[in-house]
Amino acid sequence: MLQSIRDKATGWIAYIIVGLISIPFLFWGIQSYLGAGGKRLVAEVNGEEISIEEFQRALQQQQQQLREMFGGKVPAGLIEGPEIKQSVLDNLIRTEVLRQYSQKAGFRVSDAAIVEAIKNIPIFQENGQFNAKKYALILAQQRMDKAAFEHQIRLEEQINQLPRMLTATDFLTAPDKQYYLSLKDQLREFDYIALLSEQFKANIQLTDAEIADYYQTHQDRFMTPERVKASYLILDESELAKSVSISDEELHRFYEQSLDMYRTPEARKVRRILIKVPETANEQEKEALKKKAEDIRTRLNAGEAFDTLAQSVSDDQLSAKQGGTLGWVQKGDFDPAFDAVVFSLPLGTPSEVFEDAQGYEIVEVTELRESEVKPFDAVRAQLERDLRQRKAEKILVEDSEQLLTLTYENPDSLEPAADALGLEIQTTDWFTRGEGAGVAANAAFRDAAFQGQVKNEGQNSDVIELEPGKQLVLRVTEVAAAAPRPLDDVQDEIRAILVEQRAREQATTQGEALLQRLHEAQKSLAESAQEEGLEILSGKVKRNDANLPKEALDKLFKLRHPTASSRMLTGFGLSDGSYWLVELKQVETPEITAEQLGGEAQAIQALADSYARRLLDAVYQVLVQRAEIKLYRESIE
Amino acid sequence: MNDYVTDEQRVEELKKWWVENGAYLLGGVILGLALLFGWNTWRNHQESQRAAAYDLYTELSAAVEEQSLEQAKTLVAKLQQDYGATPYAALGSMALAKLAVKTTQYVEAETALTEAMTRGKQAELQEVARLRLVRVKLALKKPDDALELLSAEWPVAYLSLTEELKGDAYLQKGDRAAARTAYDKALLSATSGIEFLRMKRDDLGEETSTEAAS
Repeated sequence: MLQSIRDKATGWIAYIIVGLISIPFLFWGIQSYLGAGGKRLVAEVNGEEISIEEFQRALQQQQQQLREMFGGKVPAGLIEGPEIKQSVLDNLIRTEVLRQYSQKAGFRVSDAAIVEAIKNIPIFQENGQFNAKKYALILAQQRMDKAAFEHQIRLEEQINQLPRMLTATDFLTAPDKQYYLSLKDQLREFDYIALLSEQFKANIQLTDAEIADYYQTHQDRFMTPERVKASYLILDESELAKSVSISDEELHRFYEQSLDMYRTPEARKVRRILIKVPETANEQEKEALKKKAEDIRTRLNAGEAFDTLAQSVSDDQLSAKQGGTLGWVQKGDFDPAFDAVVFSLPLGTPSEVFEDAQGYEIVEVTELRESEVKPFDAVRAQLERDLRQRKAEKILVEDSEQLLTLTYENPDSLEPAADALGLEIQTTDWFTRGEGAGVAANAAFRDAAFQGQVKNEGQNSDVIELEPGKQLVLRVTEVAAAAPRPLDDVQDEIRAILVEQRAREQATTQGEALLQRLHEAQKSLAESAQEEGLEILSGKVKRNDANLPKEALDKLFKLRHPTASSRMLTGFGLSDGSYWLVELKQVETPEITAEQLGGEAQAIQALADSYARRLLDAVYQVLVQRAEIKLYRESIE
Repeated sequence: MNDYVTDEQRVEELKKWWVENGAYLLGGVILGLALLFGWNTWRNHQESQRAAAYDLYTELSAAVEEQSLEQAKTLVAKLQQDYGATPYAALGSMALAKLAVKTTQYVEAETALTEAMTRGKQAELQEVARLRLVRVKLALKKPDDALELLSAEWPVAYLSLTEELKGDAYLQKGDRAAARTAYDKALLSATSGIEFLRMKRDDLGEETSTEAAS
């Protein structure tokens, strides 16, 4: 047999056979290169893939978290933009890098540690204790396999080890803490002269020519904004609702249609005896429980009172206390098996034993309340309101369609639409892009009016919805172009601007000149101030002093310490236009107590955290840099 | 080869071949199986080693928490000796160093971090140990040692941390100009958590002619 195969499988036949067999192997895995049918990836980390699905899931989670953080009012850019996508991607890559590193470097978790970790998850606990049953139940609800879940926990624990241990082993040395606190609470004592621009304003003389010149060169700052007037047609649902006519006949028909809304459903007052069947019960145990229930039923037959029996044997402890009374029950309150019995039971007769989701039950109906319907007259007002609303909605839909068609087909006029719909053309007063009164107070209205074709070519606007139930088409009737305001109107404005400018210049010039003289004269700031007749102030402040402008504090704490041979005298301008001359007299280092140095002090803790964070970031960056990462940016755009 | 052989002849040939080569074949298979088995055993051994090292580290963390230096030292010695290839050895030494720093025993910390740095098997952890060692050297007032450690090659990601420490070292040596330069570099590459760094830099002020001359 072998022989015959060998004989025949020679020459070209053999090549063809081999060729045919090799075809599937040639194309094996090609789909991952062609893309179609293959997984779309966002990145590869050392050849491990991160799929687009993983990315989407992580993105959604992140967006959900942001929504919860902002209570539903998230700035749109925050959850949609490229930034969030980038940060989600970075996180995924970082996690993958950490996972691979933890595996390779030899981080492991012992079984005991996994058990401990699971026991510490709050949702598996009851009264602060791990509850094995609850654990199994929750996993089952999540359709999760125990082994898979434990694997997941193991992985998370393993990944978290590096960051956790690096943070836990970080430290601050005592000299560092000491230096930090002494800088943080450092006191600086200084004299200063503040030349406020305000002081120079009184002496500034401006000529008309200067003002006119500024007016000419800054024309664009002194323009009136462009204004328009518009006419419009508005469809208002609440107005429509007022004008709809409604006949009695219609109202009755509407009542018949919406009976369900005015019906109170049938209710029955029920008491029960429950023999609970635990979920873990096997057939034998169930049989025994059923027997127990049957026995109770027999005792009822023999004349024992339902309520006392319920009190002593029912497993529904809440109702048992009240003789088994559950109160008024409507269809759908309990499970279908329960409903089926309760709503077919005659009044005052206990049911036979039946089984539902909770276990074995015996029920009795003690009172009946038939289904009730509110009479027409009682709900007439509400019916009329609802019907009006409904009709108005319908008319609005039809009318707005007609409005759209007619204003589109006659782009140069609102008249045809007004005639056809019986609407009055209304007009506005002047309004600008930024503000208006009446209907023009609505930004959507103004935006529509200032659109190119509407404003420049005088065409009808699209149908715009001002607010739900209010639709409108407008056309611009008059345009007043932006124009320069007359010089007389703006003179005061210009004068104020120029005075402020000059005053600032003078404060700086004078301040700098003074500083120059001080440096040359080798005099202290206090002496010079006296000579110049300027007010001198002094202070002794910490970095966070509330009385000095933040800017001035920043500058003050950037000054070199004065020494016996070299004083520290300087000047600087602030953004409010003042110029400060400052002499730093002394830098005082506060006494640091042992208590402050203790690790628990808040300031020290914050410092420790920031250093641990920086180190961890560096380590993450190093790991990412050492990994081979391929990005597929097009997948996330 | 002769094309006209019967099946009997083929069987004969096979038998002959088997006598000649069978032993090698069997040997090969057995060797392969042994290798596979050995590899598996070794892997299992390695995994259990790592898990055991983790448990030991957990024990060490507790000792560090209770500040019992002697017990911590014993545990770290065991980690280094028996589980030196695992990351827990280096991290254990670093935990010991933290405890030593906390009780201001900087020499102990120096020893522990040097061990983590030189004996560690994970480059990433060695770098961390080296950075921490610099801190301890500065606490011991050994700025030259610190600068030497800092002059080694560092990953770019460490730039802001190492430059800040360089600044600290120069300041300790009284070289304010060099300290300024280093702090400025550190600030340029830092992103967040730099309040202390900024204060250190600001406190030096700007260079003056008197200072440059002295």
